[in-house]
Amino acid sequence: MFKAIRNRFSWRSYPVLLSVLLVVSYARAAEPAKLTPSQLVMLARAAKERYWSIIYSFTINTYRVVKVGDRRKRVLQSKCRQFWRWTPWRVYCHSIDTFQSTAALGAMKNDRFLSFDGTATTSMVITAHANQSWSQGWVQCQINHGNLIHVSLINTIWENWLWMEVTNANSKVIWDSKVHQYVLEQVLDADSKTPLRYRTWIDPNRGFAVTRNESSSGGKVFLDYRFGHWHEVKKGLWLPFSFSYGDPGVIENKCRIRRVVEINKAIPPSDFAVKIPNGTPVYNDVTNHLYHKGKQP
Amino acid sequence: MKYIIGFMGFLAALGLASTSVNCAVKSGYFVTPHKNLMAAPPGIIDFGFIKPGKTETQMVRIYRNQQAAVGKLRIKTSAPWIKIRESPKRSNKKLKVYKITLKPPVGIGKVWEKIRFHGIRKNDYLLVPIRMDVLPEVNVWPHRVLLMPGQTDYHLWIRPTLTKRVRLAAYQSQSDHGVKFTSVRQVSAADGRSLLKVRVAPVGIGFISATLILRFKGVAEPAKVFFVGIGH
Repeated sequence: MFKAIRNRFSWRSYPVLLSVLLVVSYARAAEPAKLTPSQLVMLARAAKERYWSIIYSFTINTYRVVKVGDRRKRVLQSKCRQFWRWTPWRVYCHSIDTFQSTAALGAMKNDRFLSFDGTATTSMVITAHANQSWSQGWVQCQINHGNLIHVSLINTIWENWLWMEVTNANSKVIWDSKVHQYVLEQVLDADSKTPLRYRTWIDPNRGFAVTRNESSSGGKVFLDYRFGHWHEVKKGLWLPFSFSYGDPGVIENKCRIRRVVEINKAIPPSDFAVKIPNGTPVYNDVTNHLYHKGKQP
Repeated sequence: MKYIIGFMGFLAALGLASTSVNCAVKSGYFVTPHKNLMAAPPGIIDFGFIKPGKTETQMVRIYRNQQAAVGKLRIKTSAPWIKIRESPKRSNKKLKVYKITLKPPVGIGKVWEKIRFHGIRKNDYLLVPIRMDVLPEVNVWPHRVLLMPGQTDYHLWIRPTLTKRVRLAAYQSQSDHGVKFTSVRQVSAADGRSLLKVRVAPVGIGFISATLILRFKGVAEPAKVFFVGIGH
């Protein structure tokens, strides 16, 4: 038998055979494991718990897309600098917003911000270029028991897109061979004229992180999150150093991480305490009461 | 002489009697738990074991052994998680029934707390000790572990709610997709934390998952950690 094989394949054919074997084994290795939607979500959620503390700062530039003739132009609307301390148990965010136009400032006026309930802290300082008389140094704190959503970077990457019912019959996992990532596709209201479709790209080579999320209705994309410039900040811990989101063609937000100070190191609880200067108006949502810091009733 | 001794004896008896009268006045009010509930030792309201964060209630009766009515009492307690309110249906002139609701916070162990009932007499109060043992709980972080290719050792951080340290008593694994736990050991980290060092030998190809059930000494509820990954 061996003689027959030896006669069939001469020594000249060995390199060819070897290369065929290599290609087959490479293709076999590159072939992804087949996963169900719930299994993929389990993996992504487990990946999130590898991050238990992070200190970082980043900037967000918000652009409004305007039509100038036939061309589209991006107009800078606001700049924001943020500093975050995050653990799964507590959140601290310090945010400084600078608005470029009065219109943007007016839109923000009714939407001023939140926060502390003992577990999460968010403080916001707004400096307005357009309207100097308003909001310099304003901090509004609102106490929401149990309703606070921690929109930190980690939650944005790992958790926000996985809330949907993965046992839904219309959800499926597709392998995107172009980018070598899993795509979790979920369709809601499949029978309606404009079904909602959510597609989430999950990268197994970057710790099952979400690299892109797209929401569309009736084929039109209305929300698109993309995470890029991935770096392995520690062994097996990946972070995107830039991400963008928004309604394509209307509003675009470009974010860039400036500095990752610490990752997976203990942060003392005192670092999460918000320092509100005396005289700042503080709104307590529990008691429905507005008071000034230092003059509490 | 014997009259003098007799008079002194009379005085002593009077003194004793006056003391006992004072005691009687002080202890004229009695606080007991409701008859259906536990009261050991007498005078102490024993709640027994309570799970952290769980609400427990006890009915308490205050009555006088004399015929006088129980006046309006002012109740004071140092623990904000003890709530006391009078039960008007069960109370009458001779007897006051109070409902004590406890919701001890997570993180306390053996607890002795006191409730003061003011208004027994001027500048006097009745002190009612409350005793309870709040069961410890153990949280293990992370709850979900992503098994990485090539990695076999994983650290789990033990966070007990009551005591500083708990001991691992036993572990058990449930695996549908071929994850083997070769060892689970409790170790101390350099920063004083208590850790579990888990050694995993993942086998199989494709999606793998397992649940590690950890039981600790003196802790009723086991901690569960979910391991998940893709085998190679």
